[in-house]
Amino acid sequence: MTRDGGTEAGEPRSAAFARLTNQRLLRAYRLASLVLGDASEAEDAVHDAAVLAWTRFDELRDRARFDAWFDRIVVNACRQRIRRRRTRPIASSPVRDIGAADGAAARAEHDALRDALRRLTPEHRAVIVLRYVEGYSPTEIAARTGEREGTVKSRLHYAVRELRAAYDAGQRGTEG
Amino acid sequence: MSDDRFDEDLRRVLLEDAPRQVPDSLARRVSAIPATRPASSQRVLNWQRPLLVQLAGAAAVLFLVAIVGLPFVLDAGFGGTGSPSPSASPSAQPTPTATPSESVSPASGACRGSDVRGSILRWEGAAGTRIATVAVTNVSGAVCTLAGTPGLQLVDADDRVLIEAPAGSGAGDFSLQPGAEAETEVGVSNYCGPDAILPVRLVFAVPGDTGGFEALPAADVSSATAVPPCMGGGDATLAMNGWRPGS
Repeated sequence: MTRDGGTEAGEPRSAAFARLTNQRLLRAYRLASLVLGDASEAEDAVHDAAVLAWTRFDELRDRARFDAWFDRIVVNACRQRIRRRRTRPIASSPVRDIGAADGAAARAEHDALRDALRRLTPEHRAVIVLRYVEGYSPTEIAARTGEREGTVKSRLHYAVRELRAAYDAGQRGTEG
Repeated sequence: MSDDRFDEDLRRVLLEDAPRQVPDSLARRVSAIPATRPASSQRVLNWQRPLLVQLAGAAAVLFLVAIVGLPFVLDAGFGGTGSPSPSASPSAQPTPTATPSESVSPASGACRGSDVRGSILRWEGAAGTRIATVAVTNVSGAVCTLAGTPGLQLVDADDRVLIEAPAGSGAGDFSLQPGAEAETEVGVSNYCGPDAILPVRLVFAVPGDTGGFEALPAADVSSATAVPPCMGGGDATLAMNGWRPGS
């Protein structure tokens, strides 16, 4: 019986790797982009992660766990890139479609959130992305970051507190 | 301010700033990894294959070498260190390279169309990948060599090449005695070209030669599910395991 994500009996290694990475590539790139705040660095980080995953592919005994395993390699690749940085990057502001109905109040809150996200450490940003974009539980996030569940919960708590404070301040700014 | 609204706004901000598609450059770079970086472990070992079969295959190769006494590559069939067949791009222009040849096979030369009979025993697959089990029988009167990393093509009934992969480094060659059979699996995925005319066949091109051979579907094998669906993003893939003695 084939497990979800597992290979068919006899599937060539390279075909299995290509299939699994193709399925995961957008999510990996999205995670790296949001953590690193730079599209070019994110592309390099995901490529580095894919190279490492290929060389260690045989170590993955249960290929149904590829997603969590690959995410962890991507997170580590992002960490390495950040450690190599000499200065903090200036994250480019993405082009956003500002809905006319939202108005200035929503923009202020959103801008405040973006600023607060950039101020987070990459570790905090990673858990926020994995929670709020990918919808993972703290247990699943722990598997993807290689950290203990308690550490993940603590980081989530701290990050949400910081983001919420900025969000509320942004809201108060438009009320004043 | 409700938590729900905060959660919703945070998610919206993150998604607005997140990329919506993989850059072509990244997809290409990742697709090229297996071809440009040989696996550190032995290429042809399939992690699901029982060790006993691997040992039997290795013993068979050593036996052949001892009997024939020719300078075969000793890592033939199992334990090859060459690159796996690289990921390939869908190709509309190339023509099938293997044509039946009436030339006489030299002893220990590459197996050509007239030397072997190739059959696709079955197509299997799920989740975007299709795997063909291929058997090749030496129908000539002389030993010939199956290339370990031949060029590969998936070709439809109109002789249109759907997917192709170039030949690799040449490691993993397999010596095939007269009357003997070898097997392998060929995996294909992510075909995004025009609809194929069935049935499809596999072509094994001999590196550095104009010959080669084909594997046609056996009489009871349908090509209905042979062409893999388009999964989007990245190149099509076409790769094979190493050769092993037929079962």
